[in-house]
Amino acid sequence: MNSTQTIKGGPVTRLLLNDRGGRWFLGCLAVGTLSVLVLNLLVPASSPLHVSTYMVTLLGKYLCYGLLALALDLVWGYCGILSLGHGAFFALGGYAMGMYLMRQIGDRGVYGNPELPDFMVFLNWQELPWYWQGFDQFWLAAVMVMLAPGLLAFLFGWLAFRSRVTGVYLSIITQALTYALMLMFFQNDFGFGGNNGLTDFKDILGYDLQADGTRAVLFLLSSVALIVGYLLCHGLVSSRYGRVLVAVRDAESRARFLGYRVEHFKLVAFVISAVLAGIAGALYVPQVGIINPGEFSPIYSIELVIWVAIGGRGSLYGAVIGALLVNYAKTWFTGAFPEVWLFALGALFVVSTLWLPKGIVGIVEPLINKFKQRKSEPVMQEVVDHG
Amino acid sequence: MVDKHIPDDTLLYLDSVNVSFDGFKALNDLSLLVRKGELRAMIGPNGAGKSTMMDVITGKTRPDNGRVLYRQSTQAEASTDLTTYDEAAVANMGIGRKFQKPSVIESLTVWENLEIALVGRRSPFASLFHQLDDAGEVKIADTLMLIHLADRRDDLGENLSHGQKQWLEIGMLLLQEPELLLVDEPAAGMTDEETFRTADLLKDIARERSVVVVEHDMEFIRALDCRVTVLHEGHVLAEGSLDHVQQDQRVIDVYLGR
Amino acid sequence: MNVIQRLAALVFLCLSTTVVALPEGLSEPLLSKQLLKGSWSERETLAHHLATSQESSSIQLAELWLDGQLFVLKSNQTFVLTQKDGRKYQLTNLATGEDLGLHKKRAVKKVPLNNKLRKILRNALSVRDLQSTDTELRRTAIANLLGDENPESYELLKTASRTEQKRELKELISSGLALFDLKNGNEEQRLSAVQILGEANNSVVYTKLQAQKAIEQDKDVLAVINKSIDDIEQRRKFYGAVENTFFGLSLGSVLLLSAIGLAITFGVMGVINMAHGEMIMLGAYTTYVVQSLLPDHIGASLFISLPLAFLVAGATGVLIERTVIRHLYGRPLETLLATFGVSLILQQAVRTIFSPLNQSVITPEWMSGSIVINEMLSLTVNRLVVIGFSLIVFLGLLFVLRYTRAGLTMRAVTQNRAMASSMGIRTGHVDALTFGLGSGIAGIAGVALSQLTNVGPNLGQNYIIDSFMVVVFGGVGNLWGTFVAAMGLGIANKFIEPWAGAVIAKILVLIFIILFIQKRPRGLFALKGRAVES
Repeated sequence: MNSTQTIKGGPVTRLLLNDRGGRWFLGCLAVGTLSVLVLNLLVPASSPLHVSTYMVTLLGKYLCYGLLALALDLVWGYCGILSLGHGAFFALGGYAMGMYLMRQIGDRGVYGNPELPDFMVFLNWQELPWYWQGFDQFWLAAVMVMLAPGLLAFLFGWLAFRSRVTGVYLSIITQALTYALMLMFFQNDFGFGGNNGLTDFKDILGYDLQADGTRAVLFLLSSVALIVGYLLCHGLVSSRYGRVLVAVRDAESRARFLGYRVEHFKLVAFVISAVLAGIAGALYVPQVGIINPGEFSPIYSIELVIWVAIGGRGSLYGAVIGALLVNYAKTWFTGAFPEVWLFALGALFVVSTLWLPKGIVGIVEPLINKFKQRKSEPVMQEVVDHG
Repeated sequence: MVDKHIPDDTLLYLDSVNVSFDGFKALNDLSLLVRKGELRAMIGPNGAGKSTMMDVITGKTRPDNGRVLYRQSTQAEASTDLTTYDEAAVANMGIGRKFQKPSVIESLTVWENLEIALVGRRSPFASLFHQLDDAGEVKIADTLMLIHLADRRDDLGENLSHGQKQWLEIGMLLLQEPELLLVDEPAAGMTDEETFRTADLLKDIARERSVVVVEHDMEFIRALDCRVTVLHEGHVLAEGSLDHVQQDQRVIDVYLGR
Repeated sequence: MNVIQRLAALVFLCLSTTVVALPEGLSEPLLSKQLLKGSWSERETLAHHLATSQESSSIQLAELWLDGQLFVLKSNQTFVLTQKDGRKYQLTNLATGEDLGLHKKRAVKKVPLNNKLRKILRNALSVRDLQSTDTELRRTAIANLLGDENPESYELLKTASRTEQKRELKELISSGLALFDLKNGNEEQRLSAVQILGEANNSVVYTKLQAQKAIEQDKDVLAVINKSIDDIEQRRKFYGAVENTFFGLSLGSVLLLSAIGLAITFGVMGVINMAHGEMIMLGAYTTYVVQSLLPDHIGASLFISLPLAFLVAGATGVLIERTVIRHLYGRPLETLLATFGVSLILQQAVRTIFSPLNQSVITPEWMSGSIVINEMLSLTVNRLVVIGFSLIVFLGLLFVLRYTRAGLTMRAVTQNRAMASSMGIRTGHVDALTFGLGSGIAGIAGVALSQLTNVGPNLGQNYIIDSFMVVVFGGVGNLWGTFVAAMGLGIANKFIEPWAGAVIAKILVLIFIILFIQKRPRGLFALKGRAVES
């Protein structure tokens, strides 16, 4: 009666067995990460095979963007919530980490104040504001990295989803949200360094941020975070919960009349996504060495939408691939033809929406499937997890 | 609390419900009674208030005034006022609704569509850790047979024909195990053969559950062979057997005679 | 009049008359020599002579001298106008208007000035101004004397009060006289003075009253002083509120202008056009181009720019609709992304063609300056013009949509596409034209906004979020809603600003709208009913 086999084993085993593209993706990611590390740390700098620390950091940055894209894909690709404010969650996570790094500077700042970061001394502040208390503890910063974006997403989502703000309305108010946050963080007396943001970091958990080893570890952590994030998201979307998310995306009222509290499903996805974005931001900041209010600007948030669109929304690894490709293109263009980059990005938006509704994955996957079919008839039935 | 004249086996009782949109009265003092295990057809011209009535029952639209009393399976009489609940709550009390336009999840397979409809706890966390048991498997398989989609269980919803989507949606409703099904124009866009099969299916279902069908197709209504209510301008115009209402001069004037 | 204006007037005069006559009996070198080398008493005589002369050139010398702007070129002892250029001076011959080129600072010498000279010059010039036929000159002269404790000033005011006919100036003079009484009069005089001063709107009067309050011994007078101060503060509050409302309406009209095109494309057609801001930008750049092509006709440039901007932005809109948006109807999120891409391309195009920097757009003469209602309230002309203009555009648009055939077909298509199509309306054309209309209006808005803000590639971005907020807040598909929302948000913003600051005010308004949309997802004036939801 049941045409597919039931796979036994732990949840992770089942996760992997049911996701061929994901297996490839994770495999490539793991191999790539390890080889970059080996080529950076073990191959001497004189060798043509050596990967510079600069490159490691750049790749680490891309991986953080990949995690961010993954987070957005969870809500946009699977739940139909086009958030134009995900950069805000990324930046909040980044600021929480930045605050910790700021406190780590201690008395090595320009003004040599052991307690206050330079910009506060500059503003003639006498003592640390209450919301900076405790950020010299890594654990608190780590908690806030997840809590701050999570809480904001919870409050915002709770209000918005409960009152059934959907579609473009939701997109526009998420954009307004990140815009309002940007204006706030630009304020000097808001206590987050105003225009300049937080920068001049020295070390993290006692390790020098400029050291090759620290950079390599941060890169490795970014990769691990991406892998864990991928597995988490994949677990979510392949459960019944994920199917309900898709139902919400495709036919919201159907899901409601089936008895699902749509707003709760959206809220859970939104909060998880925001937390992932926050973690991405927290890993990003020590690698690039700065966080400023520009990260809140609506254009960054909308740019990240295009990463997902290009890669293929509704495909988790597609989103990551999109983020990597677009950012690589950005680095290349802004180096070679800075004038052309915005034209290219603009064209990407138009092209991907008009001709690539499912992104790169939408083109490549059918090709691979066709190729496989020709190679091995009869068709292997994909293992489906039913129990 | 509940009025004296309501019969004991009442499942749903709309008590003078009024709904207006910008001055237009979609429902005008509508009263309606559905008994347990009853199959009921509702007809009426466009704008008669059929869809609005379903919206009110299922919690989508709040009426300006009036009550919608419903008897939950644990209750002895119709004492739950549905107008204070939202769609999800109403659905979980055992009222399923089929839309006029077939509404299945296009990017899920037939099997997955049925799986999310299967009765069970509906919270995000429950569904996150949900494991389908054997009894559930059997129910889904039975439903697949019932709606003639067993051989298409792994096809995506978007690849089904119009009629198949209608059935899939009915199948999803069944797996919700509702007490009351509200079915909006199930025969629209179906071939004659499909129409009759659908009628049979609904009659089958009505053995265990109450079903309210809104339909334009007189052949289909005739095939259902049940009590008919005629709605006009948000109000019940006539009620009785199909033959009875077809003789009614007012009904002929506003609807059938056109 | 400030120095710049005086100088500008002077330069203008020089250009028109070329040669300026000097005071009788004194050649230019002789005069300048005496001014530079003579004794202070000689200078005083000359100052009196110059300031009371009938010759306009002498008066100008006196005015320049009073402002500390009177320079002599040492080499030939002529009077020159100076303008700082880096570490050097750009010199212009005062009498002939001849450009003398760059000189070192040492090449010129400033005519010395002390307090006594200042007083002589100011008094003499005041007398002249007080007798002038120009109301503004008289007003300034009187205002300058206000609160001056010099007995000569008292005499000047007394003289002026006999001849002055204008009511507001009479009041100003009586305030001035009352201030003397307040300072020097007996109790009775002080009492009546304070009562008169309570009616005044002048800020000097307010300060003087406050000062008197601190030292006043007499109880009765003190009580009246307090009352007068209260009265003035009341009026200040009132006019402050009026001014805030004016600023609010001005901001509101900017919001209305920027949102009104969007109210068509988003509100009526349901198309999310993220490139809407760039349509505004195109309008502003059109103004810039028109002004640079016709530098001699700045006054008319706006009138030429308006139709041009409508065409440029409108045509761009039609182009976007035909090439991109048309393919995305019914997919609002995709439309949003694609049009955002278009906006990036347009921004970069402007950067490449013009420059990444802001361009300066000149405000024509007729739009500058302000209308003085009283001493507590004056309204700037450019804001008044923009308010009026936004109303005209709004009403014009309402008219087009309600009473023209084009408007009828637009509404027909947006309300029931299939029916409109079956009645022979070419819906594709109507879509393009409607979108063109919305974009064109955004272009017109750009012309107006070029008068208020910087014209640069980011101009559009700065308005897009505000515009969407206004349309959503007002209720999509409702032009009046857009109007009320724009004005309401503008005024709210300006009333929050004084106690919270401009940025916080903006943030608060944004947060308010975000929360408001939660409460009423369809805006202030939402259409209700089933049709809306489908």
